[in-house]
Amino acid sequence: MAIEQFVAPASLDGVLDVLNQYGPDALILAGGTMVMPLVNEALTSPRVVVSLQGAGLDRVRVNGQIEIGTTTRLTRVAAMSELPLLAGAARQIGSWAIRNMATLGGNLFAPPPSGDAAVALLALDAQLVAQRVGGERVLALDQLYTGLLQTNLKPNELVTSIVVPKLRGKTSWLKFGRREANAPTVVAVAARVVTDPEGVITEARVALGGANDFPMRARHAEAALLGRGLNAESIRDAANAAKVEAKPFSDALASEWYRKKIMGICVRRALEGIK
Amino acid sequence: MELVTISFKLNSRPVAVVTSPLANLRDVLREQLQMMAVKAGCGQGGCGACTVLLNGEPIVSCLTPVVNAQGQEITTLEGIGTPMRLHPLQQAFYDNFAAQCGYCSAGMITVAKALLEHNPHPTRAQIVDALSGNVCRCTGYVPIIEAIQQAADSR
Repeated sequence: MAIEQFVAPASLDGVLDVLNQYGPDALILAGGTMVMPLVNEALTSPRVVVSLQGAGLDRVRVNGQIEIGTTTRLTRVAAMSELPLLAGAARQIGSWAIRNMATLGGNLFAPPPSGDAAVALLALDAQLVAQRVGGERVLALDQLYTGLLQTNLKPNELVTSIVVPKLRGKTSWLKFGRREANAPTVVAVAARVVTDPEGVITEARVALGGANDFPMRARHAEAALLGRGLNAESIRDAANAAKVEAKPFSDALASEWYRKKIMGICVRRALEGIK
Repeated sequence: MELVTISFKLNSRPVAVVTSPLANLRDVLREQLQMMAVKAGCGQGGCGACTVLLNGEPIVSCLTPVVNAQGQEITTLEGIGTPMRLHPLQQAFYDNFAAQCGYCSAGMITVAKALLEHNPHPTRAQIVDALSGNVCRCTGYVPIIEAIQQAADSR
């Protein structure tokens, strides 16, 4: 089977029409870093490949909240000083050349343990705008994933933008890979805490990559932080909780055992690094 | 898939090719436009051997559908220097014995050119960071880093 057709609609409406017509038989092409390895080796044969090149989704709007168009390149995301957590995560994805191509929206659909952006975005309470012919809806990123490479999106829907609320509190990003740069993720941790004037944590987010079939929030770790100061004891409890609730996997990079072993350490270091 | 005509600027000269829109830019550059400095390495975006510049910014051509080059400006090593007129980076690679088998050199020099455009006097750490997507299995990287440092210092 070969790919039957390639289309590059000149508008978002054109893209949505194609998705409406072809549904699961359409493959969406943005930066190419995930799709082209399959196309090059003829490992995929969708009826149609639809390019987002002409859809006008490469844009960032800052208006209190920050709305990032789905085809915004990671190089641009990595330079966003308003969101140091997300920028730090984007900065560590792939190489310079890959970040010049890969898009933020595309990274949400990267097979785990890739997909660091979603880990950072979970800690930032990001929402997604999903559009379809004749309508749109907003869903929390937290509600997107349902299983390994499974999401709540309908085949005729396209994530058109990622909306990040104005940053509240302090954040931290930690990626553990086998080397410093251009390395796939073994474990990734994103954290955000909001404290009251007495230093008591009133809001906590701990998100994990490499910890499940999809980027996940570590809700027990978050609960362990609430109502307490950010100190050695609360951090230890949160790290232990995250280690218990993580359900990691084995792959060519690391075993399930190893990921589990370092999960608590990575969460502890991430929380210690909050600033 | 129907063939399409893709036009772009290659090393400052207009070119047009008839191709499948999803052919990768690397194959089009090598097989249709004879840009043999563009090396075919991993085909997965992991080795950097096929790096070219798109409007001055490095990309891996193996994962770039040629349709994305439509109307854009592509630079390969052939557009950076020639055997008779080496670019200062190429001269520095020569002086520092920064190429052994040479397979990674085109990608390395291409990325280094973009780096020096952005940052004419990079630190060693910034050079290492910029090169992190380019794999060399011969040199151990040290002569490459030193060559780029030398090219920057001589500007």
